Amino acid sequence: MNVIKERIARRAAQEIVEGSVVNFGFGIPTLIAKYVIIDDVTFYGENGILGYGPPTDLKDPNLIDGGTNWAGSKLGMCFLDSAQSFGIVRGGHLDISFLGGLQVSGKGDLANWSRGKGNAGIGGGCCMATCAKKVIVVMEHVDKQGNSRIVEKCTFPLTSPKCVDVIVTDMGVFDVVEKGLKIRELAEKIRIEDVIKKTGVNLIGC
Amino acid sequence: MIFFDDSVIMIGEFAGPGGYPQTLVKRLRESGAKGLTLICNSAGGSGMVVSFEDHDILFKNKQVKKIICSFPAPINVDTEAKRQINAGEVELILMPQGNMIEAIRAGGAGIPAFYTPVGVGTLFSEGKEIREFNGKQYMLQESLRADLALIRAYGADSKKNLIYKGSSRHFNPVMATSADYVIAEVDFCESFFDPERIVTPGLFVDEVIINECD
Repeated sequence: MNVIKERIARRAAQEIVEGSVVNFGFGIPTLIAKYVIIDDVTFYGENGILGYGPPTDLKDPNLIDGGTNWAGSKLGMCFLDSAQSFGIVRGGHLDISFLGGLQVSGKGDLANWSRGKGNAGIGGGCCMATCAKKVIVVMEHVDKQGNSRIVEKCTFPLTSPKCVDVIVTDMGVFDVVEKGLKIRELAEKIRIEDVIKKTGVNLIGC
Repeated sequence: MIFFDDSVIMIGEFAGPGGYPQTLVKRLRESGAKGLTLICNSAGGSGMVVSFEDHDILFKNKQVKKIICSFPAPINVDTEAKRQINAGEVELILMPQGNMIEAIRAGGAGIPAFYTPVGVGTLFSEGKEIREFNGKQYMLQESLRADLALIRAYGADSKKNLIYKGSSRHFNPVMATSADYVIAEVDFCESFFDPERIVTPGLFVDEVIINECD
């Protein structure tokens, strides 16, 4: 268990409001479902599973979520084919998509896939990023080399331009607003000077 | 069941053995048909929840010329498909999953192309026609069809009507509509199903076989 990633996931879960239809992408987002405490929420998996419960150890091959976790069974759950499923997203019925990120620009451009040799491809991320009503990126604030993942301009290929609404990292919660990036909340024991130092764009009001 | 060289083949798959026509893929491997173009969500090695033998066996047997997918391979999993793609031996057409499945749906519904917002402003819109509707940009995506679709369902009745189980439906019912010849692999056959339960009408299905792998 990676404590930092779990902490980001737990904070991200608090962004979910009652009654929302929510999707979890690959990476840190797959850790969020177990921290969701409100009951009136519909989990959506792009493989056509709607209204499922948090992950279980049941290991039923016919109960897998979009992040390829074992999905929990829940009353009211239903199944769709992939075409209808992506219609939900493009049709504007997906309220929140939590996506992992390699880089996010100050304008809210998202890059979360690469064409490198170890990569997983684009999957459904492009659809969620472009069409979900709200896109929340959950990622570690800096990469393994210590470079900020929040950048002026993404160097990885874009998943979708100007799509990100909120960024949740180990340093805090940030809103993408018209004029740029705004700090909404600092994580515990994090000082604003540290955030400024480790963020690749100017933060509004800092 | 005959597999042809240089054919375009759809395979139903999403991240695990559920909804995967494993027996049919093994038969395709045994046939040795070469120069194949596969249309499948991943290029194999996608047993992320449970490891299982998938279409990577077709790459190992050098049967694949081109793959159209959204996931070439999962992170940190070494597959023969990934090696062949990276070495330039197999052509990769990467598509956002939602565009890919809609292209398959459209292909099965007699729609040659459609406009989608997904991919605009990214590498996926390169070389594609962009058009504005109601102030928003969309790109033209051509539909997909195949010579053959290998799909997995839960059960078939005597009219080849298909039912599915749980989250294993995914690509399968859509691919069933978009290929000239469709073979469904099922867990069981029954005389008749409740008509309300049927997802894929038998008119889309040419052949049914029983799963021998799970």
